[in-house]
Amino acid sequence: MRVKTENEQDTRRLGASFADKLKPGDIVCLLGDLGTGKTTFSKAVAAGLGVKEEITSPTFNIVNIYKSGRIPLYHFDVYRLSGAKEFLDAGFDEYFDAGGVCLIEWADIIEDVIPDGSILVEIERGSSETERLYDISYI
Amino acid sequence: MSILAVETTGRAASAAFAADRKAEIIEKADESGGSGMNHLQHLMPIVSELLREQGADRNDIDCVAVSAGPGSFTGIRIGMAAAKTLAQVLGADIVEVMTLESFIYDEYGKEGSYLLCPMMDARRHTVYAAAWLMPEKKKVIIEGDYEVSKFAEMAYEAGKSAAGDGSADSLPLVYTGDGAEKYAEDLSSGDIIENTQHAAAVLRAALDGGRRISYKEAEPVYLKKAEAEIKRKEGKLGLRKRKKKEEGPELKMPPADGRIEYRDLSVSDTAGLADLDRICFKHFWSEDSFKGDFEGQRAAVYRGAFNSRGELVGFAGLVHIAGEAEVNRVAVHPLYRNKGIAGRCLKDILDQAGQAGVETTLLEVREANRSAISLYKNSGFRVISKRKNYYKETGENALIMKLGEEEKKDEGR
Repeated sequence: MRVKTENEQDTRRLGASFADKLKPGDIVCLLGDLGTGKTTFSKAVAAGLGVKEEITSPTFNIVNIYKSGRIPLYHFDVYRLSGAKEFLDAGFDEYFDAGGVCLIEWADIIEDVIPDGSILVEIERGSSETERLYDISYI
Repeated sequence: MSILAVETTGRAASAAFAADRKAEIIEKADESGGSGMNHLQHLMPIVSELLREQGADRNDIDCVAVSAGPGSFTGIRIGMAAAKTLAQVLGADIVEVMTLESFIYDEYGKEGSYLLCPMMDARRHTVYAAAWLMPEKKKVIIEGDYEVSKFAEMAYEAGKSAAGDGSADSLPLVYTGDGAEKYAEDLSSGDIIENTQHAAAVLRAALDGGRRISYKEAEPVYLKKAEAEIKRKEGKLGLRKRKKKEEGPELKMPPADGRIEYRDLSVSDTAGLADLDRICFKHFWSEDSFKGDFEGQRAAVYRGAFNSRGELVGFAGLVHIAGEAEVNRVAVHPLYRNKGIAGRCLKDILDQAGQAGVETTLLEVREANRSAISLYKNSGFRVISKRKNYYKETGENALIMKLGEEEKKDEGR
């Protein structure tokens, strides 16, 4: 499915309705260049799940865990990892089975360990400054 | 002289203490009963309380036994970190106990010979497992990464050959470890005996010839996935090198106000109908097909839903003649679903048809289209027959559903 959003408000609403459909065990891969709004979308998804804490970028922690929502949210940013092996060595794949949703920014860096059936969300810039194009599919 | 053991690789953190080699072993486990990894937070408080309760002198502890893995990554690392720190601070040695092996020091209440098969969950239907012939403690399946059903088969075969020549059946099988209960479905041929607290067994294992090493040498044991198992998935996420994606239509986000207005549709709406149909269906109707409904012999009744931008976002349409109607199409834009739009449009056209004298309404629907079937059932339709391979392109079956006087009477009840 391809969805066009005009502004950040649209992004927030899209994230919220996307969140409604998430269930434990879902893995969402978030791809997109710098500045396309991966973290904005992640915040919207978290809000949609009812997470109360403020979402901060997991770029340095690799993963932030939020348990205040409908289901646990494991928010990853694997930008700093060298690849799938580093992800596995750290035991991060244990979160795939931890009863919550994994939302992984820059998931392409660890694509070798992304299981089939995961959800792929790719964000591209649109024709205007605030416009974005979301391509949502299953792997 | 005294020995402390910590165990964190399974489902409940536990610690054990023995004042000396001959003394009774006292065990303490996490009692919070929580799921997931929360029990690991309680390890140090458990150790602390255990030592206090036993009146243990910290300076007497000269050995810390730790369950070194395999098992949960996080569990192993927390146990190792705790054990190494304790050993360093207390000036004690460490004994690394292989987790799977520690299970042979537990009690299972079994008389006679049996095969003990400890299994630690490695997720995705695999386990770290091994098997020992008991009570001899002879290893018959070596530690490894096994798919669950395969391991169960191997255990059965090992049990049979251990039972001796001419034996028709395997020795009793005892499955244990956190993988046993998780994959219980695949372990039909044995008993599942889980001792969630386990540190005492770790301590006994350490006393039974465990090698003492310095905390600096202690390392966790992971049975790591072989490099070869990390399969290359080129083109799967595809990244920047991605081939051109399927170009589907770009959907606009609904307006923030969420308002929907309903009105009847006519031949002047066919362009909008075709556009929406193309978004909703792989085998979409053309504008001419919709025109055909409005200009054909049968009377067309179409009801549409519009957003505040005036865009058509849902509709239901039927055609009728001589008291008999056929529902031709019901569609709702993907971003406007679960708002009751289809139900309202459908109800409206059925009411209009009823007022125009229609007594029987039929429709056909793909057998796999559960949400549509559910919508129709809720509107009073009942399945009257099935047509096999009705949809030529996919070979799917069609269900024929009917709404007539009998069904309407049923609905009335």
